[in-house]
Amino acid sequence: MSVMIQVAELGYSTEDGIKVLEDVHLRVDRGELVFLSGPPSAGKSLLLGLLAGHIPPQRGQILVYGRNVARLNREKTLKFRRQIGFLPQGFAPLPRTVMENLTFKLRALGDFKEQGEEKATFALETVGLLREQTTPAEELTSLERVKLGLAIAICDDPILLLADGPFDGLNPDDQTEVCELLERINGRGMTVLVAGRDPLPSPAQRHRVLRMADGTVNGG
Amino acid sequence: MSTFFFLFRELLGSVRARSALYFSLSGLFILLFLCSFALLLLPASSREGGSEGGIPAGQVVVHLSPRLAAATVDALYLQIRERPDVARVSFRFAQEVNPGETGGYFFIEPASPDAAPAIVRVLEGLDGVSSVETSGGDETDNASGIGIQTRFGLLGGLVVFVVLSLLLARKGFSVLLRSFANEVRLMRLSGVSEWMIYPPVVGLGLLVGLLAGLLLIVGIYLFQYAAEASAELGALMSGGHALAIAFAGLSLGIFIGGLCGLFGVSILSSREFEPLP
Repeated sequence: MSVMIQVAELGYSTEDGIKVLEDVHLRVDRGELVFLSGPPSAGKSLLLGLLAGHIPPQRGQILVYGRNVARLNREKTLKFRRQIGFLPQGFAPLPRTVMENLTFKLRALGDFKEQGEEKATFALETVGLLREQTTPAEELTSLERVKLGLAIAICDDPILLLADGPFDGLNPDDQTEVCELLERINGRGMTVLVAGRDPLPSPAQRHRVLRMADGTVNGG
Repeated sequence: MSTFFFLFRELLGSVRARSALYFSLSGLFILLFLCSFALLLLPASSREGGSEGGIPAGQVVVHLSPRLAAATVDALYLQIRERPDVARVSFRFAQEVNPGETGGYFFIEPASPDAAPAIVRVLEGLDGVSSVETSGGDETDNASGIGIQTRFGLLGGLVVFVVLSLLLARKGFSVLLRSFANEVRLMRLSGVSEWMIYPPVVGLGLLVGLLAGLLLIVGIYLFQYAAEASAELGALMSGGHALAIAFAGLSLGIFIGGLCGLFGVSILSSREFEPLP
């Protein structure tokens, strides 16, 4: 099985010199669904930001789909970001309808209206929000907002989905539903790496779970 | 291109009452700047096309009949020069002042401004004098459009207006982009190039400048329309000159609008618009 993410000797310190990540090693295979769990401020969001190319790495090596993230120039970084679906922590939807949230991203990326609507419809169908496509995003429940965030992340058919804290603020049943949705997305061949606080919902235990504490990853 | 128009439309759609107020005020100050700029250019045309043919301020101008003999002109010249209330007198042929005109001119500089009316009264009674005119200081200012103090005032106004328009545009962009922050974050998160995010912001600034420039053109057109009906105003601006000022004003308006847009772009570099907190 080919490697999607390969991280070696990764380190990151704040401007004050506090080490947030230290000697992180991680490997995620293509088509795999991996959970990264740990307490708050363990460095999970930072790691995902580094993997997505949003934060420039300081030390170590990050290879995503064979590309060294540290060596990408500005233009290649943008192309690289387009191939990664990212659900940020505390995702806030745009004050538009569900469908417009998706088409905004797709049209900003250069898709024509019809093309964007086609992709958006497919993504909404995947996450089970097609019936709410005309609903204003402000009226969605917490669960539906997470689903919308995931739909936005996957609507441009990325090779890798990084989800940061998709279970935050959800009740156990909703967490399980999100977990099953992530399994469905993974079932379509997309590699998925999910970061969440302890404890993770029970369906997550069916997959590889990496523990993150004190800036290091165990089981990577 | 369609992406630009899509994002431009979305950005315009995010304009609310408060940001619209700031942009309107910014546009107004750009317009005031352009009006000051246009006023500064007005006097140049009046000197070139003015009916007085370059008469300096405070002088008495005596138009002599073409039938006067050279000896009579010499005698008149000496008679005027001998007067105690005359500081200086000079003679010019009428062709030098206005091509096609005949006769001659005496340009008399009175010893004091109060002496001019007495000189005029005496000269009007002489044989061979066709007309006597005075070009007082105030009249000259009116004829040439703007005095030196007003010019300095306008120059100061140019600086004040452009600074105010830039500051108000920055405030307008600050309010607008805060309501558009989620969209900017999403675009950056998705890998949309900065060269796609910036142009609509600059475009909005250009639009404000363009509207101000177009309003100036309307103003110049109305002025030109009024000038055709008034001899005094007509001396201020010819058609070609009005066209040149309008074109220069429009270009300048668009340029300042572009600067406002760049001010807006500079806001996008703050942490608030970073894709990840």
